[in-house]
Amino acid sequence: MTVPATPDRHRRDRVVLASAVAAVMLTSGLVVFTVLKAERDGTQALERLQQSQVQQLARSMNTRVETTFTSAAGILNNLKLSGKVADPGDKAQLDQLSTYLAKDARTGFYVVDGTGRLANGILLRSEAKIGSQVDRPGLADVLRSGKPAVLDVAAGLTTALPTIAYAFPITKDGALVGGVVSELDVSPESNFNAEVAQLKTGRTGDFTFVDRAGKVVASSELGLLGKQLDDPLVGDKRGFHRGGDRIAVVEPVPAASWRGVFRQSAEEFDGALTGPLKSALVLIVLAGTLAAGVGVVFLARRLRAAREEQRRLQEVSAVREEFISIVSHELRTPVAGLLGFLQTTLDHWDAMAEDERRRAIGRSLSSARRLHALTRDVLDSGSMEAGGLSYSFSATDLRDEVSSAVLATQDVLPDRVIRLTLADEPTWVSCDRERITQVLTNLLDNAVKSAPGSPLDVTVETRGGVAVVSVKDEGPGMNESELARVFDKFVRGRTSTPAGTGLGLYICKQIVNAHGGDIEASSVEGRGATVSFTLPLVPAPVESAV
Amino acid sequence: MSSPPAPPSGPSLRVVVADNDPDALDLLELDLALEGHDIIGKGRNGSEAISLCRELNPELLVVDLRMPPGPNGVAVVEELKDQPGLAMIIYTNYRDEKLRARAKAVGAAYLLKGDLRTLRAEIAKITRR
Repeated sequence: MTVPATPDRHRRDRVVLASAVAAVMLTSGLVVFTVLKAERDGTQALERLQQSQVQQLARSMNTRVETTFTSAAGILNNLKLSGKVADPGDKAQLDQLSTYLAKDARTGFYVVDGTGRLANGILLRSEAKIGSQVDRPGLADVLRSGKPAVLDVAAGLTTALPTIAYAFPITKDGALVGGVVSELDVSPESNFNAEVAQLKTGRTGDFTFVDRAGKVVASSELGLLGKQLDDPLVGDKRGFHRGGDRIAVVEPVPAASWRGVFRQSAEEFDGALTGPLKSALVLIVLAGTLAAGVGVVFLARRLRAAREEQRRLQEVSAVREEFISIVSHELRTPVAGLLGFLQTTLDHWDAMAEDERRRAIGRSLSSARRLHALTRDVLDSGSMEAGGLSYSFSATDLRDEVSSAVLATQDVLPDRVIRLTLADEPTWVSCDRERITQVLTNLLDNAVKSAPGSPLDVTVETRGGVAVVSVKDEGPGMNESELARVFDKFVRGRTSTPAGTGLGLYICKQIVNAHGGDIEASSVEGRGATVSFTLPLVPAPVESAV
Repeated sequence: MSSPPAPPSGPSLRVVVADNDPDALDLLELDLALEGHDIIGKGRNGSEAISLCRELNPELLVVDLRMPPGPNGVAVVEELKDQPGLAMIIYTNYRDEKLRARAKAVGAAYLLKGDLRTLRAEIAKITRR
């Protein structure tokens, strides 16, 4: 029998396992790469989307400012304002204009002269200021350039709240004579802020408009209104910005010189997309790990099973080799005895006395018998493996077979004490005589060999429908582990004179079982052993019963 | 029936034999005695072989190889290698070249059982020494 060399098998096992692990890792890597790429692409798309939303908002704000400029220019062109301080004509026209204001208007408007002094106003908080210089950043530029503008956040004249203001130039006969400033409060309650206030996104996203100086003119984050927006991410540069754990999108509102800003925590911004992707990734990785784990465990089990099988084969192979070695030795022993006694008798025929010759020939015969028994054991065990022995059953008085077997043993060993106790009545069993004789011979041989010099007790009795045959010796006996394996194949007794093939009791058990009987061994270590077997009793055959 | 002539026997040797197989032991005893040798001791195992040799101071030891439990034939000849005037033969059914080499290393012969004439010839060589 050939079994592949173990190191080769182990190397191959390791290669298979390593390949499996590599394949799993490669697949996992590809999956992770694909998911990460999808995440990156998705994030970029999300950034573009957010940017276009802010652009849209900024554009809409820009349009609103431009529309305001256009419509205000139309109204102002219809008025004939002089721009002079406390001019009653101007005052009358402003009163007329104030009827367009809502009843609950929170801010009003005023006129300045060409040098920036307060000339007239509606809803002024203090009429006393008329005639004094209006200190409002950006207003001077309008009076100088003659172009309308949105003024940055500053204290107003028509409200206590911070304000932004639309400033329009007043011309008379083509000359710049002053300006009109319409204030809007920067506060949570202002109409201007109402639209922006609705734009809050998620937990952390806010839309904000800041003026040139960075003051907040409108925001969905109401607490920011009128305050300086100190945010390093929000510079002059338009577009999408990422910094730290936050993102910002900045788009200009050119008509008002404002910037529209969207800000959010990066986690929340990306989370909209990456949350599900990450969950998917985690699921994929978990599933992959699980599958890989199961696969690896499965593979490892297969490998272990294969190794176990290989080890078993090697064991079987070793047992067989040992068996062959034992059998060849066991066969040589009686052959040497057979040849030796014959040879010495022939070589010294004349020198030997008659009884010496007889004894020597008798020893040859005994060796020949041993050889015969051994070859039969080996061939029988082969037949048993190949599918069982054949049996020829006939009704037999078991006492006869036992007596014959004991006599045959006594013939060879005249000095050995063998006590035979037989049942009084015929003990009929249905058996193959040759096979039962083989069992008896084996049991007697075993007792003779394993208990040198010990007297043997052989009994035949009947007990509850079975015949019981026992062979008892007073030798060293067996311990528990020896008893447990005594009927296994190739198990040899420890007292070895000579050792035997380890087949005898195995064959006995097969034969007894084939007869419907049982065989068992019992022993007290140091005080001998008993092997007994049972055969079912059968009725006496007709001719004998008569 | 005519018997073949007995081989010429040399001078008689004082012999100890040891084998765990009683048949083999009896055969050795019978044949060597018929060959004219003096069987002064019979052992059933390695330990007995050693103590018999130490005690009886034989000229020849014929010892089996495998005699469990206790020392085997090779261990026995290795143990007795320095005993003066003792020739040793391992007489066994085991063909094992390593054991044969170990036996040879201490001056013992290693013979396979089966043909008594091989044994007799080896003994004859010893007697001629």
